[in-house]
Amino acid sequence: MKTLFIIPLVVCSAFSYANVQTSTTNLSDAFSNKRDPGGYFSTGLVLEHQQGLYKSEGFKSRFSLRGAYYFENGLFLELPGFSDKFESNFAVGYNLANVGDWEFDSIFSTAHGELNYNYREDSFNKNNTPYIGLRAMGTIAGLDAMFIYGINTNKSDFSGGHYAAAWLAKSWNVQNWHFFSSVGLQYRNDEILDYYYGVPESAKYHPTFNADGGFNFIYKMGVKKPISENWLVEGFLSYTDYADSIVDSPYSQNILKFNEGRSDKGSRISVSLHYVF
Amino acid sequence: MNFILRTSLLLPAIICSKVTLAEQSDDFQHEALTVSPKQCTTLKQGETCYLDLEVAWRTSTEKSTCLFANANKLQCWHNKKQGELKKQITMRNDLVITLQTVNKQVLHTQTIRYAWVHKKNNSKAMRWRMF
Repeated sequence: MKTLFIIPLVVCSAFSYANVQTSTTNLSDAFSNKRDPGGYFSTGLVLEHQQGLYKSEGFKSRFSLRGAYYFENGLFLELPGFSDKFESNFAVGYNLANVGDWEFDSIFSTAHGELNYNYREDSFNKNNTPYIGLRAMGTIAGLDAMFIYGINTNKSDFSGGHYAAAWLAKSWNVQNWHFFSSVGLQYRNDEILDYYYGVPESAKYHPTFNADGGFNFIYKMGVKKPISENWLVEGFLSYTDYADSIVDSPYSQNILKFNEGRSDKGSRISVSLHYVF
Repeated sequence: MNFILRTSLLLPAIICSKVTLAEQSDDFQHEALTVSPKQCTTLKQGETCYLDLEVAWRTSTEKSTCLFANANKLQCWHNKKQGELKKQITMRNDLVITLQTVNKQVLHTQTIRYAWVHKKNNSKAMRWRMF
């Protein structure tokens, strides 16, 4: 619950901090000047090893499509790819303001993906949870920072869902090898987590469970090496510590009990080759 | 008989002309500047590109020469017909490698191309999407 107040506060603080940093900047310029237009699109092949609560351990290869484009009028589209990216879901939005070293967007994206669970009559397929919110990106003490706060828009499934995220990252260029390291916190309140991981009284084979809100902690590090103007080799590893209410859910416990190669911590190692257009 | 006479005269002439051509060709091959790599690629336009420069040069006669990267002098040689250089350097634009005499006469030139994957963009959003 505290986070519901903290993240919007952080986003607003970022705005006022940015404003103080550029006191001479006309505030109307902050809203009328949009970020640099441009973007990219890339396609490639990924080889990865993953393990998690809802993903079996193992190697797999897959085709990858990703990109982002920022229009001159402030609109943007982001197709980050898969979980090797930060806030990896498809997003559209509008660049609201740019103040000093900070960029502020309104954003429409996804707070939680689809969840399918198969166990006799308790099976379910739950849709993803889109959100509309605010995003702030800037620099704090030499670190790249990103904050997001949003509320769910799929009111037919449930209402009152709140999503918040905070990321800090650092990157280095060592002999054209571009390393990065980052930590992130993703908060989903009880409305969101209970929709996916709560067990209703009507369940036949699972004890009733009310999922509280909670944080996923995520660590990622990776490297990119350009081979030519169009070819990029990448590698990364990530580790996810799921919120307690996700792990404690009877659905999750059932998965851990009856499926080999599952873990209450998420991990992924990936190497890829991409062609960048 | 006439044929044998003509051939005996022409053949040495042909052989001699081939030798002369070969010598000219060797002279041409002796004059060279090879540079590696031909291109340095970084992730984002404007970033420093690091490269392990390898240069080898030859001239047909002994000369006092200097090797330059744009206007920066890398190394000089005194009365040499050939030389080599291995050096770590950085670049942010195309880099022109020239072999010059001490009198500033340019003997050979090669260009190392500066390339990038993503065009320069100062936005934070783009930066996050490039991690």
